[in-house]
Amino acid sequence: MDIVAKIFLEVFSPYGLFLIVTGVAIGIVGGALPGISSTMTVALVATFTLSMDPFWAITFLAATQVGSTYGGSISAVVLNIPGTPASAPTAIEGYELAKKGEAEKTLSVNVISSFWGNTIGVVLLLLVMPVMLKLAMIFGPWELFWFAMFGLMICAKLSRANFLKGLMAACFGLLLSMVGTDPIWGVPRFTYGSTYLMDGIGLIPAMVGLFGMAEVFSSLKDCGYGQIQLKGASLFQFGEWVRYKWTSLRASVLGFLIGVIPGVGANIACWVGYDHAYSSSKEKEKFGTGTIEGLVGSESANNACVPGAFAPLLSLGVPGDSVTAVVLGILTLHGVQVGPTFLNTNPQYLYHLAMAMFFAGAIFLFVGTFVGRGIVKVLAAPLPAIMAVVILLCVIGTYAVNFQVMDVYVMFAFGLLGLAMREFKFPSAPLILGIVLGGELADGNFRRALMAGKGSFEPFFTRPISAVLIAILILIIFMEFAWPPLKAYLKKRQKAGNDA
Amino acid sequence: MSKRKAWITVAVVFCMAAALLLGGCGKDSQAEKWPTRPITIVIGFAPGGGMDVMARALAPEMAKKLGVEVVVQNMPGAGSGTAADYLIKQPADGYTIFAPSSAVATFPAMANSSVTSKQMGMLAIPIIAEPTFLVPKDSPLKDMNDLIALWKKGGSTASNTGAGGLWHIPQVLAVGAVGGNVKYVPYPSGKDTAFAVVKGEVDWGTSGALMEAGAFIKDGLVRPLAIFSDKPYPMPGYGDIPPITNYIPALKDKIVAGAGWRGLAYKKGIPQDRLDKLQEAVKYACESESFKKMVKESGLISASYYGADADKVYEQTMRVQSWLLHDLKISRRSPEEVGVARP
Repeated sequence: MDIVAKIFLEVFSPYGLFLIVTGVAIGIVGGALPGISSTMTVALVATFTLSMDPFWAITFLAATQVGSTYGGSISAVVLNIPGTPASAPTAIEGYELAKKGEAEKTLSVNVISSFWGNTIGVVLLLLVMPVMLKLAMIFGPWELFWFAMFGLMICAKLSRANFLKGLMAACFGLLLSMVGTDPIWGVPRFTYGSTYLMDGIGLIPAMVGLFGMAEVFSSLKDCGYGQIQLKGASLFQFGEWVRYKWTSLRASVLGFLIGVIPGVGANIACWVGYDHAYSSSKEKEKFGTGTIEGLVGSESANNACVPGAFAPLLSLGVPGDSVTAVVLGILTLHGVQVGPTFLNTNPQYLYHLAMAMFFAGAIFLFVGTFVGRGIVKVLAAPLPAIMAVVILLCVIGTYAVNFQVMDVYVMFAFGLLGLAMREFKFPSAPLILGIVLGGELADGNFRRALMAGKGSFEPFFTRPISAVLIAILILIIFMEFAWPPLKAYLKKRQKAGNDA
Repeated sequence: MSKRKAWITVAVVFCMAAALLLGGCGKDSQAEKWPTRPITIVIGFAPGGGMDVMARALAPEMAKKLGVEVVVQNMPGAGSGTAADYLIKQPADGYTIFAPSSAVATFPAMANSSVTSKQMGMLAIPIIAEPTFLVPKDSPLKDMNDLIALWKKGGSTASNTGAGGLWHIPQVLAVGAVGGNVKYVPYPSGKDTAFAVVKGEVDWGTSGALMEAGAFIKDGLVRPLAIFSDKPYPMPGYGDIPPITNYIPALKDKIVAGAGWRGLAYKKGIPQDRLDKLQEAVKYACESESFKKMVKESGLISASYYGADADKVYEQTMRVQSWLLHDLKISRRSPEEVGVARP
């Protein structure tokens, strides 16, 4: 207990507070700027941490990541541009709510969900550590492949309104993810000799185009679209969140577990959280038209994923996602070698990190609650002015990723695609999820698994966790797609029997 | 808030963004005050790997000498071929440099990129890699002789970071020398490669003894059977790892070209005075106290090839490795197609 008290005093020392507050602030700004993902924000500030003590470095980087994961949701709600790929589902529900004038309420619920997700994540991080080694060991390419299949199933569920169109969008997304250098042999696929396409279709240009730019084009189309009438709301929307507390809790646990699995990060956690909110909702028809519930699911999950990704890092030295990979690099630079026995000799790292992350969450809760009101005022501006800013942010954000003008053209192309998809009532979510899942997660792991299994399909079904995943997958597919019509049929028969 | 305030806010945001965009458009003045803007080091691998760590350790030291910021940018893809192509696409102004592993030496055969020593020169090669043959802790293979027997028997699986990659070449050289047969399984990074061995997903694997597999070796999750070197390697916190030449003496003359390295490269054609400045800064960084300390603490094997010497190592490695892969029939084109002659 001595050590906990010591670390408490350290984290809340002026220097500690300064680092955490600065980290969260930079994170929120970086996260809210479209195109600047969490990984980029953390990589950008990483250089400043070289002169710090290693555990202050990890504290600062973790605070930045916590801030940026929350920050991404701000632009998603206010401008329909997900600030980071992890807030794509947030944009789907959040912006619809903002259009109804409920941005103030939405941002408030958003920040509470994010805080809750982060807090649950931190608590689970402390709990999961003792079994972490065993947990990470059971996930091989076979399990990751089944995981990608879960993602595809979410695509299908997201497309319930129009199943065929949704699946078409998902397949198109998967197809797009095949463009570029293949993950196993490094062979260029569908690049037609272009060096730009060697890198594949970037997730960020595609996402910013499909969400932000498509919104601009679509508002150009219906010029009659009036100004948003802002509805005031009280500062704390705690009650609104309490309605969905169980959704938030479950989404947080799911998000955390996804963080724990090396190779899967917040970009997928958000969709799993969103999907969970949908599955457990009593008002499924409201999804896609602006519902607090979906937003709670997405934001709880992506924020809980952040502490999750630190679990394999601290217990094994294996990064849980692309952000923790940067953190690992920085620790190595400091001469800190993280491995399975690292925490036995350096337990302070875990407590330091957990405390700092929790505190970082408290800071964004505070900042988000009060600053949120100011941000919402942007929406009071005339629509053409808002859209001008959206265009500008879309262009700058996309350009900033790789400093390539081609990315900007791709973003515009996806904007037009997004407009066409809206016109013909194709959902854009399955398309984005298809791009996220395709390349490395589904294709790479499938082929890697076959190679490691010496060409045999057997391990896909015989590895214990694989078998469990398949069972869950089949169960969900049955419950989602086969049970409702079956139930209706049985009811009809029973009724017919009764009538007779 | 009034409508006017909102307009002002919008205008301010617009102006700031415009300034940011236009800021990059200025032409460099002809009077050579160079560099005037940040220099970017591109890396062909994801953050967190050995390459990334080296570049990030060198960047701040180079910045001290050059007087501008040195930014590290990860551009994974095609076993660093994407990053090499990117370097060659940039103007030859010295503002972009590339931190390659010796994987670039296999491009003439593997066609990840068309870049050869004709377009790219080396500024320095400060690190020699430490490819180590690893098996899971509970593997029935007791020592390197057992592993060699398994190669000869055929059918085992081994992890690496892709055909022609830093850890693939030593595998091919060693397995080829004993006339064995192995199925290779590529993973996204050196860390994943080592972790695959920990999890027992493959029968054995090759990865770096320090950055990638170091903690796993020290904690007994994997056992190192041999290092691809002609000298035993005294690993900090573990003990001596025997050299591969103890078991396969025929490899003795293939060690230099086969064990990989990490360096810094530039696009040929940049003005000589800028190249001199870069050379000077890179040398300064490689010999700085902080870099030396990092190398020593992590137990990396350091080297000091600069300028023409570094170019010579690159040229030699390129010829040997490209033709090796071609002769093994795992190349995608003949190195001759891009004008690389047999060693």
